[in-house]
Amino acid sequence: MARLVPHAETTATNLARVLRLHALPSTPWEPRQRAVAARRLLEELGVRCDESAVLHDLKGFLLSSPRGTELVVSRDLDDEQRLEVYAHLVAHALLGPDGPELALAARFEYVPGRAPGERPPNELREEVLADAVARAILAGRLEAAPRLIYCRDLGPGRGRFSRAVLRGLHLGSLALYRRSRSYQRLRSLPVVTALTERVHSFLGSAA
Amino acid sequence: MSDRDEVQVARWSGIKGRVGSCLRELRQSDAATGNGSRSQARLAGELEDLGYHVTQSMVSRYEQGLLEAPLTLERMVGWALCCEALSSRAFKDLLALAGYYLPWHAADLIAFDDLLRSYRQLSLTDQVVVRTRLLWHILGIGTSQPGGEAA
Repeated sequence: MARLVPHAETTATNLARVLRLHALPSTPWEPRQRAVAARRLLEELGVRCDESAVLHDLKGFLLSSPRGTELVVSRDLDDEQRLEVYAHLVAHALLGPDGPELALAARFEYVPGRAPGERPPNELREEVLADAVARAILAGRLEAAPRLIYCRDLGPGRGRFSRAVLRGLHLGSLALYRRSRSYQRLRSLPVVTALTERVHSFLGSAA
Repeated sequence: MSDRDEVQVARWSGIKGRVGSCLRELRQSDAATGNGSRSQARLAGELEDLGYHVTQSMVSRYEQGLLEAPLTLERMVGWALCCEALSSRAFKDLLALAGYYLPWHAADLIAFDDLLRSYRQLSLTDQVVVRTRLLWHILGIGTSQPGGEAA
């Protein structure tokens, strides 16, 4: 379970839902309202947000410890950029450390062109993946990302065989998603998302 | 002086030499990271940015183990975070020396070293913001409060 943000999966799902609702043609929200709604949701879910920091290399950063989680965002960002930072850091929280809860964890969001030249390969890999997941959150379609990213529980399944097949499919999808930008684009297509949802419903629901 | 203060001062007297040399080593070891030794004046300025009033002269006397006033945990952590040479192991050892147990396991130590590595690559402006927040997370100090702690 990701620990960078408490209940990261719930937070990401709800953030995507709020952004989807606020993007409906019947109720088109201004970027300002979307950013405020996102911040309010995060705070309701226990994440402190500070949008007043004076930052130079960073657009924002996330710090998490047993004392809580906080998102610090540069005061120079506009509403859209602030929303992107929130989505990106929540995406990092979904992808963040499994295993035991860390005493202290952090993620930095760099201003384009100001990231350090030498970053560890695992950090760069996570960055690419977080980009894709953040796009899914911002589009209000978290399901455009592989299910194992935002939901570790695959359901009871129809039986041992179908459960194993389902797990294999999801793991394969996640592995492809991690490695291939083309697959990320393919996976985000509504028709592919619908197909994977149907396959999951068929194999994942209890007999 | 109350009994409690007497105990605190006696305890500080017992460790101030070792804590001082440990802090001096952290500051001077900045040279090993290729950035040159951090001057006492610069360190005093950075502690000021964190909200702690520690003058250059106090830095010097703390390092020599001459100051009778105990260096608080908050300032010790702030001091350490300002030094480029800080590592998770050195941090844990420093706090242990001062009698504070940091309940970090191997994974925590690795994560903290990673965090320090990324943090040191930031501009000074960003480092100050991150450092202030880190203090809160390590010690539970409210970001608006450290000024009130100043001597």
